[in-house]
Amino acid sequence: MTDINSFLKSDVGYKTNPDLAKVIAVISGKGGVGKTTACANLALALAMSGLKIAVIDTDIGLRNLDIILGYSDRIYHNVIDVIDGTCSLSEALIPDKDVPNLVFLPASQIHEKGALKTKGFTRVIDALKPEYNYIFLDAPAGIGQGLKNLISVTDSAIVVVNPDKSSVLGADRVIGIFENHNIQVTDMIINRYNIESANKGDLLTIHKINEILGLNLLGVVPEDSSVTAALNSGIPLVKKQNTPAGKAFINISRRFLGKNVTLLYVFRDNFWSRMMGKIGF
Amino acid sequence: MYEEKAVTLQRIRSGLYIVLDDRIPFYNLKKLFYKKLQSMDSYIFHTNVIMNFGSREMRDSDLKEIITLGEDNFKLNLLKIITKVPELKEIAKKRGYKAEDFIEKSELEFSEDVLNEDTLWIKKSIRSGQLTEYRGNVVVLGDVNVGARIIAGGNILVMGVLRGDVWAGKDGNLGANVISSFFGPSQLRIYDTYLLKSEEILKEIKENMPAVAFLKNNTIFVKEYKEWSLRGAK
Repeated sequence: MTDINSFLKSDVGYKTNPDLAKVIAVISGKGGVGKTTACANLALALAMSGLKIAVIDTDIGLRNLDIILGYSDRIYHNVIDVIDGTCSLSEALIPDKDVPNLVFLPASQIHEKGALKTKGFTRVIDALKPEYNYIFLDAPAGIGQGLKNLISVTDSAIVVVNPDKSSVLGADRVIGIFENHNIQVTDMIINRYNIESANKGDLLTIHKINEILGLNLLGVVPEDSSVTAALNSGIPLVKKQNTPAGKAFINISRRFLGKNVTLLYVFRDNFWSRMMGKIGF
Repeated sequence: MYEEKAVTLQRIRSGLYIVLDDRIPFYNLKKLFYKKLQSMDSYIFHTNVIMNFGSREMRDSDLKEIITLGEDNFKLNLLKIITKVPELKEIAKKRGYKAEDFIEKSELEFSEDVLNEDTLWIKKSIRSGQLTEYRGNVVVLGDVNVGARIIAGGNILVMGVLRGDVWAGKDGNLGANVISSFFGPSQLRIYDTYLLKSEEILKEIKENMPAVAFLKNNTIFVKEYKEWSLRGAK
């Protein structure tokens, strides 16, 4: 069996044009796997390390990202208003209170997916590109109109999967759609992983998921109750570093920038089973 | 009357030779071209074509329109353009296509042996929801994931893991085989027969060894590749 650390790397973070931002969509097949959590925390962690990041919620009609980032009471304008011309882009962007490098463009709650017109959306992205290093798009679940809106503007994508079959096979379908439009998807994040259940055979192991999808592993996030707690309190995980999931997201952001970081202790077999494996039991 | 002869297709060594009548209006020609290709079903996908425009005079936008019509809808691969108009030849060369006055006779030859060699190479994995149709053999240098589908007129060879739906010998080729390094299709079909996953066959598949599926007496059998190749692939 190959070592997990051999496919712990990232191709998404590599930038081809240093002057313009790279647009990265965070996608998944199934809903509820943690796209929004991953998007918010990865963006925040990168912004904390000094990069200029813009995050756009493209889940029109069912916005979530503002709740996780804790901006719910500061939304006055949204991306549809910018496209329609009712307000300017700088009016709609919300900067973070603690991390000024991060700005957020919220989605509209009263429109439907079709309201995000390709032409206008491309104009918004193009206006943001020279000022930021990375632009993250939080994709809606499923493969409908909402996902097709993103295809024309996206440079690259990160897939978020849970260690279950329906989420992995759904992710495979979405990757296929992106590849049909010549967008290479190279990296994945495994969310809600638990090494004990995986070793028992209840969950898919990291090796099994990699065998099906054939992607680089950007990182693994453990099953952790602090994720839900952070969502409800409105303070993102990354801002309070003492949780395992928060640490996992910091590590993901460092791997994203090309550093070699090994997996957290929670994903490794314990000392005795490793020794037993080496001896040959 | 003239509509039937407006677009004629001819099989040649390198693929397909399309002759477009130069007497009918361009607007009608577009429609007839699309209809004719659509009636050819899956045969037409990924074909190399040579297009003959005769002495029709065309603008740059017209040429682009009719070529993208074929490329986008039927994934045609344009090899060259035959035209008698020097202006059109220059336009085609600007767009990066070859253009000539006439087609050489040796290129028009066609025999059944050519069909046997006709192979589509796919140098990546096929993901769920992606459909590949080809009239000849299909070789995949990668995996075929669950939910992906391959339809071929000839044999199918998968170098990686085969987990998707495959249909070999679609047009009546009873000798078509499906070969894979890691054999485990969710659905397998040769001509009009499905693979029934009986206990014997599941045992054969479980080994995760290179395996071959073939048709014999209206039933599909699966054999380990080594055993099958020793008997001389009869």
